Amino acid sequence: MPEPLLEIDGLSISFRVGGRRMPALAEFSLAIHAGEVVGLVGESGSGKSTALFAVMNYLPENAVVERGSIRYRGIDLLSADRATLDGLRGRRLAMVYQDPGTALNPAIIAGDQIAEVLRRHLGFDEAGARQRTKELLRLVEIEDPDRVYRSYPHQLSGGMRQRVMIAMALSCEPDLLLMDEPTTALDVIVQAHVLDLVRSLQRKLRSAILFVSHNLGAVAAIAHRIGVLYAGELMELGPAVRILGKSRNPYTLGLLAAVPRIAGREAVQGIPGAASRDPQRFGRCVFAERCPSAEAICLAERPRLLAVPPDAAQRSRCHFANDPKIDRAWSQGAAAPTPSAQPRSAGADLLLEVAGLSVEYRQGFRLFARPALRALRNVSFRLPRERVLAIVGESGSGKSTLARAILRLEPGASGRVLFEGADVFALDAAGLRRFRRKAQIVFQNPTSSLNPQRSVFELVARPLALAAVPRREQRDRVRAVLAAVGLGDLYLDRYPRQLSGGEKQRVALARAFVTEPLLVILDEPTTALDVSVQAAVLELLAKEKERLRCAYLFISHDLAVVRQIADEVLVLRHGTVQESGPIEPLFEAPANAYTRALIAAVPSFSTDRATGGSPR
Amino acid sequence: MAPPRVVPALTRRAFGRGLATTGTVLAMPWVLGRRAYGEAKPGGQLTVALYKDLRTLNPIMGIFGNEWRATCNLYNNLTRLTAKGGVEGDLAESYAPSANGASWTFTLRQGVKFHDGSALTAADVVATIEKILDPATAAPYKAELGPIAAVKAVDGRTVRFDLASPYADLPKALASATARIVSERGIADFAKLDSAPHGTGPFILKEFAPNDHVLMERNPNYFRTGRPYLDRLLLRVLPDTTAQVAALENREVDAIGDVEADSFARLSAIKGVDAAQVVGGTFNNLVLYANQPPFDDERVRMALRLAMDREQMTAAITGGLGTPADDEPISAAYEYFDKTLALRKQDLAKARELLKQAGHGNGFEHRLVVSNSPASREKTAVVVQAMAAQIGIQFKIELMDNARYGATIWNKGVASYVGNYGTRPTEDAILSKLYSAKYGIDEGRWAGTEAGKRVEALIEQGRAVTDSAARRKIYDEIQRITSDDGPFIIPNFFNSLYASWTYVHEWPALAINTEMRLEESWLSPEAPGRKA
Amino acid sequence: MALALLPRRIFYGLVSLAILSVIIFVCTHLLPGDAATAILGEGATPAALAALRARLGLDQPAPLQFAHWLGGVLTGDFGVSTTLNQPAGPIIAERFLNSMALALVTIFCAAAIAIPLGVVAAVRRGSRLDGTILTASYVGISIPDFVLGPVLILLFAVPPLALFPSSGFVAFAASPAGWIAHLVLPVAALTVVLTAHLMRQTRSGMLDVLNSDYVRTARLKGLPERLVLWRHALRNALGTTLAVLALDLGYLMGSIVIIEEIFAYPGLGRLIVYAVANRDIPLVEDVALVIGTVYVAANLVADIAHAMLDPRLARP
Repeated sequence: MPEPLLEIDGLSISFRVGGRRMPALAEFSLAIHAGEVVGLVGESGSGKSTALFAVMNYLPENAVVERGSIRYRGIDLLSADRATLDGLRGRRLAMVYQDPGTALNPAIIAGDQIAEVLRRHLGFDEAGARQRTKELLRLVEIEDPDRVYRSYPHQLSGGMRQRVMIAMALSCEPDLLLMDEPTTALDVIVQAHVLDLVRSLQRKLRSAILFVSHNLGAVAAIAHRIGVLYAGELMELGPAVRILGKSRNPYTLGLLAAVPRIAGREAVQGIPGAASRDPQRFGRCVFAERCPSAEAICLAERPRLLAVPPDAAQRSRCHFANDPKIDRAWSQGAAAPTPSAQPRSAGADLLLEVAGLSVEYRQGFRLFARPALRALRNVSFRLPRERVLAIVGESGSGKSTLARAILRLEPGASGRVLFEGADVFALDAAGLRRFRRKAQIVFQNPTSSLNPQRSVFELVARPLALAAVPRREQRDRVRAVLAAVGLGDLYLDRYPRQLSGGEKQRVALARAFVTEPLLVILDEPTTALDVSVQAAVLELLAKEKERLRCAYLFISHDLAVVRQIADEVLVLRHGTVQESGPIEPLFEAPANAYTRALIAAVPSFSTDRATGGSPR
Repeated sequence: MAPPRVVPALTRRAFGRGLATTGTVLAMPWVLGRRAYGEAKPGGQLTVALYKDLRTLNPIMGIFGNEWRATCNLYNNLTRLTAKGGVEGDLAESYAPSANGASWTFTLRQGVKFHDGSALTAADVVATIEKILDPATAAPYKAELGPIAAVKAVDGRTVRFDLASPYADLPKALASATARIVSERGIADFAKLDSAPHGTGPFILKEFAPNDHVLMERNPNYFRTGRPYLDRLLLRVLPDTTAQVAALENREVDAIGDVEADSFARLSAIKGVDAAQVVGGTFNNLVLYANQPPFDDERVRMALRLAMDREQMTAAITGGLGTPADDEPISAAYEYFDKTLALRKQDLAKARELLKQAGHGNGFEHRLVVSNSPASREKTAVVVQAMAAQIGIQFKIELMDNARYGATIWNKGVASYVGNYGTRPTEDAILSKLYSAKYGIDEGRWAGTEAGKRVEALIEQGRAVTDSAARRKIYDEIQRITSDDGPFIIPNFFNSLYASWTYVHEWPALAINTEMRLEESWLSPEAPGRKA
Repeated sequence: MALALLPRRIFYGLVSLAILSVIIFVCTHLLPGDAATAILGEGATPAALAALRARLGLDQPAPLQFAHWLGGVLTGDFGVSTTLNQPAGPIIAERFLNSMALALVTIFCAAAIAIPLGVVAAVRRGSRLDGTILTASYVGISIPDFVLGPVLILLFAVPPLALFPSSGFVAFAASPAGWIAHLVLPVAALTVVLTAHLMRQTRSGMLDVLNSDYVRTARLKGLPERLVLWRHALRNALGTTLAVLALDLGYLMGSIVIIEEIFAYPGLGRLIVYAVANRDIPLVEDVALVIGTVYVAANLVADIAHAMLDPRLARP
C-alpha cells in the first residue's frame, strides 16, 4: 500500500460542557488514500462532523483533542499554525458544506467568492481568476456561468448554490475534498443531480473525498469505502459493497433494516432506545443497551475492531463480529409488514373531502395590491376513514399550506373542506372547537412545537383540559396514550429538554392521539429524526392507526417513507396536483413525469449489490 | 472665598416678625454699588443668565419674571419704583391727583423717542393703557392697574386717568411690569409685539430666540443722557442650575438674574462673585377654602396656624433664604408692612383644643394638590403636612403637572392647593388679588365671612386714602385680620437672590426681582465683556 | 427592503405621520388645560380666558382647529405658535438645524468609537480587552444623563480646566470655532450614552457573523484572518448597527430633553416639552411632525444603506 494521503490516528475528542468533558469521538482512526472516496455514516451525535472538522483543524472552541493525530502528507494538522493551515485549506484540503444557503457570503457575488480562492492560492490575477472561475462553473455543469458569476447567493437555487460551493472547493484541484452532508439540505431531485455531479467530477479530477452523511443511500451512491460511526465510536469500516451487503455489525445491520426503501413496502424496523451519551460509554460496547445480541461481555469490555474474513479490509467493532448469531439479531423483532391498502368503496365511510381548495397570499396593502401569490390551486381529494393519504412534494410545493388550510388556519383559503359531511369553512366557534378536537396536527420539529415550560403530562393533557375533561380522567387517558406511544409513567413529570428528539416526537404524537381524533395531519413527522428512530415512529403510527381507527394525512418529501405507510398518494408541485392515486400503481408506474423524476431521484441501494462509485 | 454680600440692613424692626437671617439680608430694596472703581465706564457686553421660560417680549401679555426682566430694559413705564421702595417718574416728568382723588394727571417728559424714532406722546400712553384695559386683550395683570375708568390725552404730553373710585396707589401701580408704555404703532401691531418691541427703553432688541436668549444693544437716543453704560446686553436662558453656576464661574455669564435657592451656597463660595439676598414678597399660600368644610370653621383654620413653627418651617423651606410669615401676604418688602405684629408662636395644646371644640378631636384627612413647578411648592406642602400631622390633620399630597394644575385645581374651589405669588408694586395689588371678590379672585372663598367683609371694606378704604399714617393704620388692620382669620397658610417669604461678578457695578438688587433694569450698570475693565 | 419598494415605503411613512398627527392632536386635547390657561397663569379669570380663547381661535371645535392646522401644513404653512405668538416655522427650523447638528456630530462620534470597539471586542471575544470594553460599556449605560452632563461640566467647563463653554449654543455662521466649542460637551455626554449600546450592538452583530457558516467557509478557504474580517464579516455585521443608528438619530432629535436643558442647547426636545407643558397645540403638532419625519427618513436611509450592504434586500 502506498503512503495514505490523510491519516487519522487514534483521535479522541471531547467537549467541555458546563465544567464537564463530554467525549464525542473515541480513538478514531481512518486512512484515506489518494483518489479514494470514503463515506462516513452516522446518526446525530455519532461524531462524524467532529471528525470531519478535526481534519480542517476547525473545531468549536470548547473542543479538546484528548489524544491522537491527523497527518496530511506528513504534516500534523492538529498542531499546525494558522499560516500553514491557511496554505492547506482551500488549496489541498477543501470543503463542501451541508447548507450552501448559509455557507456562501450573502453580500458577495458568487463568482468572486470562487475567484478569491484562485487568487489566494494559485496566484491568479483578477481577470485570470474570473476566467478560470467561469470555467469551473462550466465544469460543475452550470450552463450560464456569466450570470451565475454575477449573482448573489440568494438569487440562486439551492442546487446552484451547492454547485458553486463544489466549484469553489475544486478550484485548486485539492487532494482531499471534505463533504459535510452536502445533499441533506437539498430537495430530492436536486440531491440526485448533485450526487451524480460529484461522482463524475471525482472520476475526472481524482481527488480523494471524505463524504459524511446520515443518509445511507447517498453514501452508498458514491463511496468506495464506508465507515459507520455510532455515539463517537467507529463501529464498522470496509468496502462499500461489504458494509451494505455483508455487514458484520449489529448496529450497521439495524441501521440498514431501519431505512425505508423506495422499491417496495417492506418492514422497516426501528432500533429501540436512543444513542448513549454516557461519558463512560467507551469502556464497553457503546451500542450494548440497544443491541438485541448483547451479552454480558458487551457491557463489560470495549470490543476491538475485528477483522472480518476473508481479509482485513472489513473490520467490525463487535465482540461477535464473526458469530453467525448477529445475522438473526434483527429478524426476531421484525414486525409484520404494514398491511397493504385494501381497496375500499370510497364515499361509504368518507371522512374528509377537499374540493377545489385554493390558497392565496394577498401581498401588501389593498391600494398597492400586487397579483396575489397562489400557494395552492384547486386541490381536491377524498380521504376515507382509517386510510392514509400521503401528500408528497418538494419544498415550496404547498404541502404545509394544504394542511393548515384544512384546519382553517389559512385566511386566504377558498373552496370546500367537508369533514364528516360538515363544511369546515362554515363552522361556528363551537363547531370549530369540536372539529379541531377530532382533527389533530403533528409538526416536523417537536422541539419548537412543545412548550418547554410544561411537563409531559401538562402537554399531553392540554387538549383534554381544553375539552373540559375531568382531571382524574385526564390522568388515566394521558397514561394510556403515553403507554401506547412507548413512554411509561416515568415521563409524566419530565420536561421537553429532558427528552431526546424521538421522545419529543412521541410526546407530540401522544398529544395528538389523546383526544382520540378521527383525522391526524402529520406534517413531516419523521424528518427531524434519525433513521433508526424514524423507523420506530413509523411503526408506532401504524399501530396507533389500528387502535384508534383514524385516518392520516401524511405530509412528506421522503418518498421512501411514504411508500411504507400510505394507502394513497397525492403529488404536489407549485401548489397544483400532479398526480394522485393508490400507492402501489402510482409508485410502480407513475404517469406524471415529475412523479417519475421524484421517484427516480431517491438514492437507493440494495443490500445485495454495490451501487457505489467505480472501484479503484 | 467671598462671603455673601452683606449690605447694612435697614432694619425696620429688630424683633416681632424677625428676619430669619438677621443682618445678612437687605431688608429694603437696594442697589449693589461698588464705588471703589470710581466713575462709571461705558462700554462692553453684560451677559445675564436666567433660569426659567422667556417666551414673549410683549409686556402686556407676559406672566413670567424673565419676560419682565427683559422688557424693563426695552421699555419704560410712566413711573418706576425706587430702590428704597418709593416711586418716581420715569416717562412721566410729574404727576398729581385731582383734589377729590377722582383722577390723576401725568405730564410726560419731553424729547423721549421710541426705538423707531417716533416721539413719545400722550396718545401712546392712552393706546397702551386702553389696550391693557380692553377685555378682548385678556391682559393677565390688568387688575393690577387699579380702578381706571378712562384714560385721556389732555394734550400732547398730558394724560389724565379718570378713576372709578379714588386710588392713591395709581403712580405705583403704573410701575407694574404690565404697564410698560408701548408706542401707538406697536399697539396697532399687537400681534407682533411678542417679538418686535416698540419701546423707549435703554436697550434696543437685536435678537430674540424664545426660551433661549435675548440680545439687546445700547439705545443711543435714550432720554437719560449717558445711559445706558453697556453697549450690549445678552440674556441667556440656562435651564439647569449646575450649568448656570458653571457658566458664572467660567465667566461665560456675568450675573444671574434669578438665582435658585439651591445654587446660592455654591455661588457664594465662588471667589469674586457677589451673592446677595434681599427680603422679598414672594410666597407660597396653602389655600384653605373658607366656604367649605372643614376649613369653613375658623377654629380649624386657627388650629392649623397654631400647629406651625414658622421659624423652623422657613429654615426648611427656604434653606435660610427667607423670612417667616404669618399667613398674610405683606412682607417687609412692602412699605406698609406691620412690624409690630408679633410672629405667631407654635402652640400645639391650644391647637388640639380648638380642633376638639370644632368636633375634630381625632383629626381628619384632607386632600392637598401640589403643582410640580416651582419646586418650592412641594417643599411647602410637605413641611405644612409634617406640622399639621402633629395635631392630627393629615394632608394627602397629590403632585400634579403644572398645566393640569392650572386648568383643573388653581382657584377652582375643588381642593386645597399651594399657590405661588411674586412681589407686587403695591400692597393693594396683592391684597385685592387674594381677598377681594370685587377686584381679585377671593382665592380662599373668604370674602363672604364677617372678617372677609371687613377686609374687603378696608381694601376699598386703603385705595382711597392718600394720607400715609391713615393708610398704615388700614393696612395694619388688614394684616392683623388676615393673619388671625384668613383662608391661607403662608409660612414664609422668599428672599430675592442675585449673583454677579464684582466687576459688574450697580447691579439692581431689588425686592421685586423682576425689575432688572440695567441702565445704570457698568463693567470694570477686567470684565470679559469688555474684551474682544 | 427592495429599492423598488421605496415609493411605497415613503407612502407608508406619510400615512404614519398623518396618524401620528391625529393621535397627538387628540391626546393634547384630552390633557386638561389649554394654551389660554398657560398664557394667563394666575391672571386666568373666566372673562380673560374667554377673550383669549376667542382671540386664539381655541373656542372653535377641535376638528376644525385640526383641519386648519393640517390645511396649513399641507400648503407649507406651519401655523403660529399659540403661546409664543410667532410663526412656528422659523422657530422650528432653527431648533431643527441645531438638533440635527448635534445629532449628526454625535452619531458620527459614537459610530467612530463604537464600531471599532465592538468589532475588536467581538474578534477578541473572551479576552481581557473584551472584558474591559464590556465593563466600560456597562458603566456607560448605567450613568444617567442627568448625572453625566453636570459631571462633564464640573470636570471640563469650570476652573481649573475650563476647556469648553459650560453650556449654550453659538451659530456656525457667527463663529465656527464657537460652534464647535459649544458642541463638545453635549456631544461627549450623548456619545457616552450612545456608544455603550451601539458598541454592544456591533459586538453582538459581529459575533453572530463570526459564528456564521460563511465566515467558516472563508476561513476554510485559507483566507488570512484579516481578509476574513474585512471582506467577509464586517459588511454583514453592520446591518443591525445601521438600523440602531437610525433609531438613535430620531432619539437625538427629540428625546434628549435633559441633555438639552443641562447644556442650554436650543434643540427640538426642549421645544416640544415646552409646547406640551403650555398646551401649544400647533407647536406640539409641528415639532412632532418634524421628529416623526426624521424617524421615518432615518429609517429609510438606514434601510437603503442596509440594502447596499446586503444584496438580499436590494435584489430579491
